[in-house]
Amino acid sequence: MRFTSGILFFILFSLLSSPFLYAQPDSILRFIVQEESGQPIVSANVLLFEAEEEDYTDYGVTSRDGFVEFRGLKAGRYRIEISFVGFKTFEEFFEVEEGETAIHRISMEESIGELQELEVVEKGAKTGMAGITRIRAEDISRVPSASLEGDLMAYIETMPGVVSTGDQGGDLYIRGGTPSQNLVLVDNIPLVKPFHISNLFSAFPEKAVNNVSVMAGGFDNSYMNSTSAVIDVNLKTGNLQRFAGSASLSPYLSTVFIETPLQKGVSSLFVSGRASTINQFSGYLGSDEKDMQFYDIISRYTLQGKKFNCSLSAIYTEDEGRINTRRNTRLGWTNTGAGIRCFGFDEMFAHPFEVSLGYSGFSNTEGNESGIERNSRVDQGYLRVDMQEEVANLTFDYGVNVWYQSFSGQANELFTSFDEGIEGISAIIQLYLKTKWQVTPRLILEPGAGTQITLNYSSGLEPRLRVQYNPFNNNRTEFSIATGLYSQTLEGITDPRDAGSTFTLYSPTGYNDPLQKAFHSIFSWRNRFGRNWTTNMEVYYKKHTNIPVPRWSQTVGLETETVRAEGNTYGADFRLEYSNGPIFWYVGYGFGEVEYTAQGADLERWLGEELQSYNPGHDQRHKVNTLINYKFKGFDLSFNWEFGSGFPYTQIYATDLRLDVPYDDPTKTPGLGAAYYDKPYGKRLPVYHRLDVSLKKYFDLSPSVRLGSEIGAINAYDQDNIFYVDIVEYEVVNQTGVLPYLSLSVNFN
Amino acid sequence: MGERMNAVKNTCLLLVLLILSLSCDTSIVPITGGDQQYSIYGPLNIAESPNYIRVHNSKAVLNADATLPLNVTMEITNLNSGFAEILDDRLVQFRGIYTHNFRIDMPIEFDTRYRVELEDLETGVTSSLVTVTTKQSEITILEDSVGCNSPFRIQLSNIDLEAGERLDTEVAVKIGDDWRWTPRIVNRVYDDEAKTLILSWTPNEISSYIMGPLDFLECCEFTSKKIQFRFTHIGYVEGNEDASLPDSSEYNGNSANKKIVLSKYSDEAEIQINPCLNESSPVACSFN
Repeated sequence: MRFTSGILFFILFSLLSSPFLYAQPDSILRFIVQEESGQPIVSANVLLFEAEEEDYTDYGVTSRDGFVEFRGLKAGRYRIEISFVGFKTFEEFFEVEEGETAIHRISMEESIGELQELEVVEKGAKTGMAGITRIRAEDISRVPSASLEGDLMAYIETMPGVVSTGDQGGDLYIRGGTPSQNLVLVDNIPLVKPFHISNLFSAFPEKAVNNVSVMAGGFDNSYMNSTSAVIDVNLKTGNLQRFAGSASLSPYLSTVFIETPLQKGVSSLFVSGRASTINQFSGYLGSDEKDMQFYDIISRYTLQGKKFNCSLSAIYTEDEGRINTRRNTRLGWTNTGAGIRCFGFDEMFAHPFEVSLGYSGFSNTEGNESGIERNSRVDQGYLRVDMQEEVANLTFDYGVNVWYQSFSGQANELFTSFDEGIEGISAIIQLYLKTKWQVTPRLILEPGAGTQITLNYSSGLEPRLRVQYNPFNNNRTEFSIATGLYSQTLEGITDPRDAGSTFTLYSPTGYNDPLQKAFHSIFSWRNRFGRNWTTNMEVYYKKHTNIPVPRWSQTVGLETETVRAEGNTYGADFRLEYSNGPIFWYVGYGFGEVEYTAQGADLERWLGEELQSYNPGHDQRHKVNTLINYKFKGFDLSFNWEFGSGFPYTQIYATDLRLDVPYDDPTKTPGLGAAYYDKPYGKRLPVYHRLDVSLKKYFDLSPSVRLGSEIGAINAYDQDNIFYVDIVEYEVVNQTGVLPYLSLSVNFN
Repeated sequence: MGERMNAVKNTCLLLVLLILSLSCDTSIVPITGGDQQYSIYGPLNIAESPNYIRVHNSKAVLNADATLPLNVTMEITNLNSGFAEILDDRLVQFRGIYTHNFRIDMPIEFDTRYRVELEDLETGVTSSLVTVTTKQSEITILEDSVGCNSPFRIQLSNIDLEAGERLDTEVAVKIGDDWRWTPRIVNRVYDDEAKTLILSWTPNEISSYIMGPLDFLECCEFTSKKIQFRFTHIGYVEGNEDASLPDSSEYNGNSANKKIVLSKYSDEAEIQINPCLNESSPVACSFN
């Protein structure tokens, strides 16, 4: 019975692949929309007009490959209008013969000056679909990040509903989900933690990224094996036309970026390398001692054929250091990944398809100066095929992903459930099917279902539904709903009581343990007011089950026993954007409440109740972000201010210095220091707030060389924000104080 | 352009006001509120003076600032004689944490009840306990000069286990140049009426405990024909008599606010053995 859903999918896939289902196709127009450099333009609006008609007959939005197609066309002449912010509107006529599948690559020309206002033009990060925020490199560049080029991490941290519990550690909590419940994909390569030990940086600099989708919940069935959120990063295509590059240096980061065509207009390569310089410079800047270093290398080879796009992406990141410099705990993690992804749109195929194949590895360690005490490693391999078919005028997306995971690790008595260490493999087959059904011109339904099967268990059916309603038949006002069931086979176990460590032990779900599952429900309203204002509000609810959490006991001990918790998260996110020429202003507010319910070991005797409900350490109730970006006289001025209400912490009920009576001599023996917990997370830390500022300017030294300069400061008014409290010794460790910086870069092409 | 600049200026002003209004409260409360509570640890050595009682404020986090102040008085009263002594606090710092150790100058006597009382000078709340010292025990060797597999027996008098007294014992044999000790007891017979305790071991059993069952040595391989015996006789606490402070007994297992003051004294004896009596031993006797 447990594999019923898998058998069902197999039958469905067989039917979809059957040629008997399809009628002779009508004419098809396919477009690949890209910049002059070859970079795909994602989410561009494409309108199709019949010959000289005024009203468009169909419309589409470009995919991450810049692809859009119009099906079921009669032979004839069509006009295409493509618009995207920052580019001149493209208009051209195309003819198509009966039964023909015509493919065209379209290069859009960049627009300088005021942008045209078009009904279909989107500005800034789009949140048009419930739970999803689409981010472009330009959005990333607006947020100050202690370096001349923006960083994805800095942008993501401005989003309501996204919580990082300090400015170090590289952990992101998205709408109540924990870091191990997030799925990060880079050109389809799954990475475990591509975020750096300094929370100012991820492995994704602005220059290496084409676009990112942050799905805080409610994502469709093409994304499986995550119960909370997905961060889907598409790397950029290296310049297909000319060689370009840059190098920069700041007190926190040095970077090198090179992109070059290998065969002009056909293939290209980019390489991005960055290394931290925080340790070397922190002493000169008056900031606290820092002990953290990291680097990342990302590269992508792109081949654009006439009927396919292929890419080979590779990434390596390494982090090492202490997030609490008063402790001797050293943390480290590495990500390795490489993958091939091909998107085919040849006319011999009725529909485009995508094939991905790759590997990724992750390891994290915890130790001290004398060596590694704990380690955990995850290796993953995947082969993924995504296809499309049309049945009864409905286009079905379906796919299969064969995913192999290998786990190893030693917890060294940290988690009692894993005293023997971890050695295990998990082979998963993921299947999904989804469709988009335009019920009326104003209402679109996107139902889907998926399942995950291993030799030992099946996740069962994961039905999901996305609904989009445009009440006025335009895209100024939009309501959308996303809901569904989610499951994941990977578990990350950490001890959140110890904020001084982010060590996570990864394991497959045990044979006797139930899968982590979740139910998401999101309601979204988005509206554009006038020419310049966009607002978006989302209300959400997430229910997680079988989350591995530490079992609470009254004593503070080294060993941690894990139990299963149920988590309920609800909240609301609000965004308001103003964009008018040189001024961009954004304010976001997020409200959320996360509550876990779990069994406590001997808490019944200690606190009178064994079943504990508590708000975990990442339960931040209120978060406000505002970002102002102002361009004037060649300068680019940015302010980013963040406010967050305090995170919960656990008080202690009592301390002790135990003596062994009657043997210990009180004047010669300190006694055994002990602390006894009160109820978990009963108090909250003070509020957090921080202002980051930056001022950028570029100088053209020659037609091909530009000098970039930026001055700025992170935590500009030097607010003492608490990062970590050692509650037993009452040691308060603050986040980083004011971090002034001057960054210089050389750009050439 | 002027309108835009005004918008930026107003937003900045709003930001500054928000920042100023939010930058005040940075306090955290690491420990739950409520009355001060104290743990009391007192090893009272009957043979020695002075003795010390450790008092720890369990509402103090473990750092220097929090552990330095302790606003209490400690008093010990000999309930048999009525003699009382106010104790002086001797501060001893370990790894930055202050410990408060109250000095007892009066001699601790056998078979005596002592009342130890703590008074919180801020609240006036008192906490007390009564500890009872043991009678002096006498060692009688009932059987010695035994062979390797024959038990020797020791009798201890004035042991009141039913009242709550405890007896920790150890025996040692000499192997090479070292006396090797074990706390394990093979046989123990307690006479409640006579208040006597009889303990017995065979030399080979002691060897087995020390060396392990696979590596043990026959007693004829010991480098001494004597076995050492020592014990610590420990008194008991009658109980916490003060109900005004939360009592540790309500928390089972690991508990805060423990109040333990126990007396002790130690003694020792030597027992002669005769390894050559053991005819079944396969190892040649080295003691002639």
